[in-house]
Amino acid sequence: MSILAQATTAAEAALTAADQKSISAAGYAGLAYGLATLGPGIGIGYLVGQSVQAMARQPEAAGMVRTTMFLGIAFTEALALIGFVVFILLKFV
Amino acid sequence: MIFGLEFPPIENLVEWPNLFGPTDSWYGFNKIALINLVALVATAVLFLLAGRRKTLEPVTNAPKGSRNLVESAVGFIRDGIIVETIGPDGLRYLPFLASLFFFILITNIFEVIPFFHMPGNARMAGPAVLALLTWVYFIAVGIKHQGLKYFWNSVAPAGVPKALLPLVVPIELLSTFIVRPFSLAVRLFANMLAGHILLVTFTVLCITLWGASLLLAVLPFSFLMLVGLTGFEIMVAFLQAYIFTILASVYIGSSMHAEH
Amino acid sequence: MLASILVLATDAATTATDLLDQAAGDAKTVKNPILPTVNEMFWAAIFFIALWALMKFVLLPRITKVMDGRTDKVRDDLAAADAAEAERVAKLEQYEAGLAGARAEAVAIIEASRAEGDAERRTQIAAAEAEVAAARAEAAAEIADAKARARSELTGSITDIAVGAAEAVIQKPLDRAAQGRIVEDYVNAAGQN
Repeated sequence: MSILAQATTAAEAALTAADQKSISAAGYAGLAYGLATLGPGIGIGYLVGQSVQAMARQPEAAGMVRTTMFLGIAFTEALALIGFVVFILLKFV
Repeated sequence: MIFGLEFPPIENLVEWPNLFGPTDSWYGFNKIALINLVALVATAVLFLLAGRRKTLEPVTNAPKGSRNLVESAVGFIRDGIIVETIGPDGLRYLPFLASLFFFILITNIFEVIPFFHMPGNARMAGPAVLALLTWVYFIAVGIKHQGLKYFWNSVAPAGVPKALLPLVVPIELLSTFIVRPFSLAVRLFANMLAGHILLVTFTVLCITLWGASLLLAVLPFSFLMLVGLTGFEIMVAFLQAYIFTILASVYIGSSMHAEH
Repeated sequence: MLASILVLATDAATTATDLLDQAAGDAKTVKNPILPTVNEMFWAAIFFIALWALMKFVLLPRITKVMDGRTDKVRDDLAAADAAEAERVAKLEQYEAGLAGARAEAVAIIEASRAEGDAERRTQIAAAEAEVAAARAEAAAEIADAKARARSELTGSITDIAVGAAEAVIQKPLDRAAQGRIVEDYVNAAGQN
């Protein structure tokens, strides 16, 4: 751990405030994306599970359920994708 | 740099030099534009092949080859998307939605086509244009069907108490006219960019592992992952084209009739 | 894991300055990867609108025309099949109605002939019984006649024999008529036993 601390201080010494900010932003980018996946992951799992149940109960309504399921996935997934865009923005901009 | 793994900067993954036209000009023709052109030409050629007189006669023959492919796709858009979301009234929007579907599908599928390996929609330009056109289109459909009352009908759903209107109207205004096109564009763009970065990551990993001595043992897993993800990305390319088209269809359908 | 973090940290320390110097020079040219660029939007719009126009006026009408034609054909064929089926059902009903009529007629004929046969049989039996009764009556009359004749003959001969025997015994003629009555009474009494 002591070597790590030395390395970090050496890095800090070499960097200006702006560089510090971009490095920490790059670190938080991963965290931001990881957090952004949680909700949509649960949401899509629940949504697809319920849809499969609905299709199993009423196979004749499977087409309608599938269409609605894809719509729901599209809306839920948008949150994860906005998280991904934030990741790109933090990491590369 | 981890074990000599050097991930290229993102500009190298998605920004392409112009094939002709000066850099930063408004008409610079680069790889993305080429992919869009190919999407246009490929769709047109496919439809023309399918619509040749020779394959059309007689009408009772079962469709074969290109005609079968195109008829399946058009039938899917017609029955699986339009009739499901708008109803039989929506069949007049078939040309727009079919163009959307084929354009997005073919620009997406370039993600896995050798020598291109770049989804055209991993740049914001394509999705933004398509989402803007969809936005204009569904507003135009709304005005055509409901007149200028369309704007009021779409921001104030029927059955909402008058006291809640100050709360509901801004939310609906935001969700209908701002979030809809934005989420359409971002969904397509981010899906394709994420897939592209995923494939690039595993490709870079494979290339790097090829040289490293001890880590060569991990290479097969990495390569299998790359193969599997390629198949997954083909599915995603199709799914995103489907979702963009079905959402455009839902938006157009909601513009045709006042919500009740 | 720790090793990789260490390598990362030291690498960052040593190369960060170089990279950042380089980045400072490129800062103007590095574009935001999220934002759309004008030239790509221009071409995407051109090509998409071209595809839309082509699709609307050239590409799609041919395909939908054929698909609609086939749909119409299938619908017409189905309608024709339905009509043929209805016709078949109607014919079947007609045939069954005819069959039922014929069957009823046959039953009626059988009943009629059976009734006729019964009547015929009954009259013939009656006739035969009448004939038999007549024959029997005639026979009874004949028998009675024969019996009467036999009795009278028997009475005559017995009277003759008895009177002759009695005349022989007593040697004197007897009153034939009075003896005859006695013999007749006797014969009648014997006939009744």
